[in-house]
Amino acid sequence: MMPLLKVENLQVSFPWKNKSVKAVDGVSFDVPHKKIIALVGESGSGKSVTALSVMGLIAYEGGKIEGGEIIFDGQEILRMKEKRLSKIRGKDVAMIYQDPMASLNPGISVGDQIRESLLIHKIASRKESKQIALNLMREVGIPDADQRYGSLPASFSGGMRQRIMIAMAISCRPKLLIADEPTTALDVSLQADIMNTLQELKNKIGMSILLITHDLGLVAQHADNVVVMYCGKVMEESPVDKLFEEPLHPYTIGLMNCIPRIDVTQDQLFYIPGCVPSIYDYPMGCRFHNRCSKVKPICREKMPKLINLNDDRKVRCWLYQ
Amino acid sequence: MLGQRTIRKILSKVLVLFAFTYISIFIFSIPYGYSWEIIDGRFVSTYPLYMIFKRCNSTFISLLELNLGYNIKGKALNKVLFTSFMRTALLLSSSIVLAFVLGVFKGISDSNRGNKNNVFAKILISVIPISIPDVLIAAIMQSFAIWLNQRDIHIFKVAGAGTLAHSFLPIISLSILPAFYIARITSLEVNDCYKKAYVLTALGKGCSSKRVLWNHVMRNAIKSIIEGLPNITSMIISNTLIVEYMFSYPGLTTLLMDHIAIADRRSSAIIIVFIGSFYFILNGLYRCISTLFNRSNRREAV
Amino acid sequence: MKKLNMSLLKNIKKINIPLLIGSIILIFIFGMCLYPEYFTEADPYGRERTQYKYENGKSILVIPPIPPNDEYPLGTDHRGRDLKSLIIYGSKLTIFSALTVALIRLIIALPLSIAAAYKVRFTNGFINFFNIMFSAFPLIIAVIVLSNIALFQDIFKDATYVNIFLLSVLGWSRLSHILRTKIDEILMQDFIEGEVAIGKNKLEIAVQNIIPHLIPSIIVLFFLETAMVLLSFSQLGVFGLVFGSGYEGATGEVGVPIEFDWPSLLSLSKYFYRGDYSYLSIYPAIAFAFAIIGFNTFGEGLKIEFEKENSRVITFIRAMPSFLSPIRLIYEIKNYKQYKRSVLGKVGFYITILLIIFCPKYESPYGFDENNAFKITKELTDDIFKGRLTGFQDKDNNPAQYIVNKLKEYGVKAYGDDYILENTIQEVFNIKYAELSMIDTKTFSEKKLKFRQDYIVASNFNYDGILDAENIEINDGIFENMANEPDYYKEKALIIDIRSMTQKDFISLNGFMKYYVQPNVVIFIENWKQQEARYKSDIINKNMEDTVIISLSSEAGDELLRMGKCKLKISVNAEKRNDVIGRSVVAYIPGIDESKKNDFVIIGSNLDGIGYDLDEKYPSAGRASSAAISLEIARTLIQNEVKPDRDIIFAFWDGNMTDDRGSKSFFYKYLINRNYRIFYIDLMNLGYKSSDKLMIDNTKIFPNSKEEQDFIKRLKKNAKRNDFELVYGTLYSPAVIDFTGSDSQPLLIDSFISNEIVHTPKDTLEEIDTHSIKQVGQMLLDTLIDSFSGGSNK
Repeated sequence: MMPLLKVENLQVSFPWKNKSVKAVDGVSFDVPHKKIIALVGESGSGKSVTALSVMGLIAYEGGKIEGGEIIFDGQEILRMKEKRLSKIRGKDVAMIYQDPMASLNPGISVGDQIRESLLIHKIASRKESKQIALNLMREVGIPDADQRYGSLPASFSGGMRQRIMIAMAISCRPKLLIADEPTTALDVSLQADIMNTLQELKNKIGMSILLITHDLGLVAQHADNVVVMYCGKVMEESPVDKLFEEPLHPYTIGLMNCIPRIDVTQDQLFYIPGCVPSIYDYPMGCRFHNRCSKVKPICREKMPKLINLNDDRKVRCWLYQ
Repeated sequence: MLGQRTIRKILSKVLVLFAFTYISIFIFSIPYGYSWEIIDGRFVSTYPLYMIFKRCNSTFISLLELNLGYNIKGKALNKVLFTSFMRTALLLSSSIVLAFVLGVFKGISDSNRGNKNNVFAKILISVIPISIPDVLIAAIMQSFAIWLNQRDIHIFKVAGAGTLAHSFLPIISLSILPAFYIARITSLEVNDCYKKAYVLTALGKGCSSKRVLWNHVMRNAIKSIIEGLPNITSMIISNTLIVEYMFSYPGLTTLLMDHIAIADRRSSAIIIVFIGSFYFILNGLYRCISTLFNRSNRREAV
Repeated sequence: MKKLNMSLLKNIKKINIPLLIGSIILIFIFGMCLYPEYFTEADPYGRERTQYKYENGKSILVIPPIPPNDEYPLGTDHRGRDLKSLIIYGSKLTIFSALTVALIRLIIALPLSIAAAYKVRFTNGFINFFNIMFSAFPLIIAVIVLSNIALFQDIFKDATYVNIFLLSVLGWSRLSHILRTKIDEILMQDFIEGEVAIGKNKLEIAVQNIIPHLIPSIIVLFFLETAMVLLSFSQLGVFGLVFGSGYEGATGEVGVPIEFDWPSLLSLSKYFYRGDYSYLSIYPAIAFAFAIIGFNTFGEGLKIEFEKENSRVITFIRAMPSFLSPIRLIYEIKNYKQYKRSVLGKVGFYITILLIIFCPKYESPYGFDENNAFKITKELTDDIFKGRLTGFQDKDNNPAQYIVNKLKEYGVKAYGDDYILENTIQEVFNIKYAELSMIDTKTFSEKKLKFRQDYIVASNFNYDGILDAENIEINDGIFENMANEPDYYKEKALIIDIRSMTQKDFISLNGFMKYYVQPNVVIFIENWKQQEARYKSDIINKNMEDTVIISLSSEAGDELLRMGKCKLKISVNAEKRNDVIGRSVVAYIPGIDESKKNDFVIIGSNLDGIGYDLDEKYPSAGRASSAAISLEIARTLIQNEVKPDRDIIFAFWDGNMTDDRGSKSFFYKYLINRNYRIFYIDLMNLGYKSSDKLMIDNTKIFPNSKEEQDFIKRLKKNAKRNDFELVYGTLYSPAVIDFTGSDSQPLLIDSFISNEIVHTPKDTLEEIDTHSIKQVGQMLLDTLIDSFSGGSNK
């Protein structure tokens, strides 16, 4: 079956001084129907850029698509005209943003913001949309929905605002929900809550979720597949249980080792030596080679390809080629 | 019932109004010959200060009683003042409305609206128009109208009052500078708002760029634009003086200048208080609109 | 090629265009302020007069204001002054006043804003109230009303300073608001908490943390505020507020320098906006717009630059202290090999600065002998010439003969048949005795006024009488009353206070009185002060036949008015002589250029003194000194064999204190209807040691007369070289009446000195010194040679 979302060799650049730098350099992955795919990596690895590209919003942030393909539900996103794109956005693919404080319009009531998508995509009339919005608020767990419908976002806590964002995103029952670090700005106690809500809704609506995060714990609990990104490239792609059982790429191994364990006594916490190379000055060959403990001479010269190992695992490393 | 805080606020505003009125009258009550001379090593004023205060107090009280009296030529001040006041009010209000509408639309068109165009050119376009003195604008308008008149096109009347045609030129001249200021504030606010995250959210929902502009950006920008208006109120009032003077428009300015010329200090003081009142009226109006706007935000927004 | 264009375009996009444009405009404006003579040929003091011009065979009347044409690209104002030069010369006062106001506003606003940010009691409320007060009460009206109050005029003396003071002190609050917001932003930053934690007090935080962060904002605000001030100036100008301190009294007498400024050019806009005269307000308004755009774009450009992270301008500013540091220079010199370029650059920079400051003095190749001139002055003020009053001199010992002897000695040729030009003067008079007393009608006490201190007599016949004083004021009924009851007024001593009268009213009243009333006695209260004792010829436009004319000083006038109803005892004994002979001396140095044979330069001075009154002699040393300077110039030119391109005439007038002037006689004999082009230079009173400035009046020189305007520019240059200043004003000299015409233009030169000395018994040789004579004489000599002989031929 065709995946819901297919990203093929996506390349996105940003202008810098007289040149341009590639934030995403040949990223490919699939999002099947009704699955949660986690896009994992450090800050600056290109996860959010990938997400915005899928939404067709990268130009708004100053980025430029240099190449590749994004096929969503059989439609080519990258060459679609803005008018057509706006018909898909919010309806078939929706996004939850990182900072719920800033992502809601401070001057419009939450109820109106939730029902806006319904009106734009003509899913309901003005009267009906209000009722639907109220139901959505209850669905995501906002207490006293009737009283709070007309309140401004400033009167809600961080967790509640994120729920409002979720309500907004799922209002049109999208096929794909992109959740960009949905719990980063929230307390740990709320994180599980939000993720559970997302999981429930996914089962209820039957949507896929592209979960962007750097939190491996979240990934372990909720994701079906994991795509590991580093310096704008996919390093490894694998079902979640296999990834945690046996990570293949040295970077992934390093990430796993960074998670503190209570069952193992450690004098010192593990860390990946070196630092992430600057986007303006990527090293030749494999971008991880200067931090890799298993580096080989060829790693310094040539970039390895992303190859399939067994049907469901992919890795970009000379160790496996 | 009004809370203590509200009462205090109202009282302080009234106090400010009274202080303004008294000081304005005082400025006009100082005789031109007032000076200090050194006699026997001491500073002695050439005019007793208590007389100045006496004059000032009597004018202040008569103003409070709304007993405006007569000017030096024997004309009843209240009639004369009322007509001029209404004419200036018409000029001011029409210009502000025109300036606001023109300014907001120009500001939107000037703004980047998310696209990073040539910043420098935009700055030049916004700075140069507000650098043109209203004197020049009025002079150019008049020359233009005279040029038209010389070619038998009598749309505009160059000076005086009485018909709407007389008011066109002054209204247009008066609205140009504030329009550019408002355009500048608008474009800055709109640019600012477009950088905010909620614009991305709105786009992500499928909003068209038109919808993003009017439902999301302008909703927040207008508040800031209205909040920036009191800063240009004083500019608008002093521009009104110039425009009225240059077009010989018989509003409060002409009245004031006439009374200064015949050295009628008392009437001049009263007129200036009425000119000053426009400042308070306008700022009060902006505040009301701002509050109303905030309230209406909570109702149906989409 | 395409790649080059693309990279060029990219580079252009990187340049801070507002900063660039603003800089260009400001450099142009400051150039205009400091070196106006390079931007315009015409001197703004020169005026077009009402005159007939011949164009295409037709005679047309030219009356200023003249619209833009070839001669005057921006037209002239209502007084005939070239508008372009008015704008260019007016830029200095306008721009520097605006900069001063902006600076003072910043100085006032900054500490108040810091105090308000620190929530010092009442500061915030004070700023807010001030802001509201002078937003609601239009600032321009406040300035106009308050600037008329005598207190400010007495403290600051100059209208410019009054306006600067008022605009600064009343207009700072808006700036304070802006600064307050910025200071709040700084105070909210985390590092301030750190500073407080280490124990810094509020003042230290203000000086060490707030102000350094504020400096970029302050610099930007300075330029933006200057633009706002210029905008206020334009508005003030429309309402008639001027900055220059010139004024004209009711009779048209002006004695103080007149400066130029842009606001005063706009004050006519109300009257001259119609039709052809709209240029009178548009061009000055454009000048304002240009300057405001310059300051605004520069300010905005600076703002952008300061917000850049790697701004070149900030790097430059930061590098300045290091560049100027002498310690650094010494270090670099010690390590010369490493810092060769930097050392050479810095040393070159310092040498240039030193050269500009300590520029060597200019020495003229033509030495003017001041000792000789002083000697001549001494001889002319000798007692034997009895004050040199026309008609009262000795036949054998008269100053004309003395001058002729000198001219012969120097080898200067006579102009005409003889050196001496004689003319008959109908009447000369001298006041032998005068008395004016005020008698209080209630107490009968008598107050005697002092002749020539409290009053002057301007009429020339005897009178004796006691009359009731009648104060004449311009109001609606006066003309009617005069016409209906002329006899009532004839019998009174009419007192007219012309100090605040407009010229229009004065002329109407005078004319009315002459025609209907023909009064016996008229007493004018004028603006001159007691110390400025005057001479009768200074009273102009007030002659009436058979009427005793007395001019009262301002103080005496006030006293008279305070007395109210009183009687005046007037007694005048005038000594008259009729049909006396005036003897003027005229000589010349011939010019060598045939093409200039119809062009003349005439250097005129007054040979006659002001004589004596009440048997007191007035040596008029200043006038004698002028004649001496003129003689010495002639001598130097002859001695150095200077060949001027046109005739230079040296004239010493007699009888110029009367209607039958020597200069008039000369004009009618030699110059009238000959289509000569004349440049007349009148030397009035020169050589005073207490005078460090010279006043020139070039208001009667047409702005488009290139040669004359060039002469004045050279005069200015030579004045600077001789270490003194030229100021401009309007002067009066009777000879000028004869030399003002369409082809004849006069320049007047006088000492800028208090009137305590000139034309009083104190005007003696003691007041003259060789140094002052040398300064003026050398300046004139060099300028004449520069202008009329193609420069130095040595």
